[in-house]
Amino acid sequence: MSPAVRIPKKTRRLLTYSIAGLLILAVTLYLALPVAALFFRTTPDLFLSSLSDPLVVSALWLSLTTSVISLAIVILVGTPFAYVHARSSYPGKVIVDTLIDLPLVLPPAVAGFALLVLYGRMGLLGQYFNMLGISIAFTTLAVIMAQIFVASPFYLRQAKSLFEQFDQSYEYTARTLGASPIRTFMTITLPLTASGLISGAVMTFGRALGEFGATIMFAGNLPGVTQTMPLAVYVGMESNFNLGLTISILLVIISFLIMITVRLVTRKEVLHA
Amino acid sequence: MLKAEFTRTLRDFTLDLSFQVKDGEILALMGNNGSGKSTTLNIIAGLLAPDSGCIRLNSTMLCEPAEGTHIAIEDRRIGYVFQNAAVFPHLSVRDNIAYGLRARNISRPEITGRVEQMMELMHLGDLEAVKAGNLSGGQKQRTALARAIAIRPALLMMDEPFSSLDVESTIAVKALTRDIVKKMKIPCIVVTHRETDSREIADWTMVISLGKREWEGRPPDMPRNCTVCRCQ
Repeated sequence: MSPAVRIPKKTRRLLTYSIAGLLILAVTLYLALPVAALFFRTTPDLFLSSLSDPLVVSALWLSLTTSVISLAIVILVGTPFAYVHARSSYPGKVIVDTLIDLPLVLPPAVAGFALLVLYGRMGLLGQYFNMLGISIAFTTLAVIMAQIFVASPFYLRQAKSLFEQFDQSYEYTARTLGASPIRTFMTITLPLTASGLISGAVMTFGRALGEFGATIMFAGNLPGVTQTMPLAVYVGMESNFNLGLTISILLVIISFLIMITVRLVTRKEVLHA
Repeated sequence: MLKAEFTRTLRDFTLDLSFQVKDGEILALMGNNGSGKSTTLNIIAGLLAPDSGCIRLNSTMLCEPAEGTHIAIEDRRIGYVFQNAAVFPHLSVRDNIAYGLRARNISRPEITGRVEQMMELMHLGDLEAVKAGNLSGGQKQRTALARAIAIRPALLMMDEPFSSLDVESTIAVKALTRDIVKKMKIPCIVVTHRETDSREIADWTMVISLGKREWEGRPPDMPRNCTVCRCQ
């Protein structure tokens, strides 16, 4: 039997570093190159001139307004819901937990189709709304509903976990000092979980802004009414490549800003801790 | 005076206690981990409900399940200092002390006066603007005590207040606690599992084990052969 070949320590270390470096480079390039390609395919002048195109302006405006409305609804309804859900035990809680997570794994097109089956003109509930003269599908309301359905888990999961992990002795102390449950929530629980809630809200906003599959299925693609930025990219790619490029770059910039905000907020949270 | 007599079924045993604490007296509630000490405080504070019995503080019946009486936590006038002090880290020392006074809609000039008084009493004057999250263990405990006392409670309860303090801070907080309880003439319960704490601060000691009273008496009289009492 031949003796085992011993690789010198220096060579082993060099090999380890080389493999680690290659891995980091490969992953970074894989993620960065497609994004960078968007910027290489246009010029600053072309980008700026496309910004004033009516298609871009209306898609940008629609995306921002619907995403802000969706986020506001998610925060206003989701925060008290997450608090009550985290602090109480009730029959079927596990099912509710699963439902909160479901939109994260459900293909967005399926989510949109499901919303259409329920709220469409001939849908299970939609037919009754239709009888009252209310149509939901293929309206701006449908855009908001699709965004809420797909993006709310980012906020709900975060809020739920924050409230579950929150040290209740702070709340108990506030109560014994004379604070009502609402005052305790507003002055103690909310400020102490704020940074986590903000990062959840920012992620929700980002997801709502980028929503495509559920929106196109449930709300359609009507310019100025339901054509959000991701839908305009899709249209632009077929008809006007530069417009698609401009909107894509805008979305990349917004996504970067979102990630930077999350980083800053969570960093602040760590410093507080 | 606090008079408590209650039962509550817990996971492994039934908490079944009957005791009273006179005004100006400190009761040391001792026992091993999981013997029901903190649960007792939580029941008196109203954070947990007893299954039966009654808890009376001076002339007010705080809780009597048979009669459907259960005074809300915020209306019990109990100063409760938790084991971790639970100072609100996002508020300054001043705002921590003023928290209960604001919650009780006390007038601004009175809040200012009481907060000043508390900060002086607890030697916190130079820390008033410091965020409570940045305080040391002893400073946190003194802030928590000041905050609990500021509302002029009818009962003071402290859960393991000395467990995370260094020797110097422990001496200071013990002296302040004794001083306050005697001056304010209110009953006080201190949960501890250290016999030295009981000897140094308490007028009366009650040792519990698995929810039942194992021994009670004056701290120096604690029997040497009591294994539950010597739980440190």
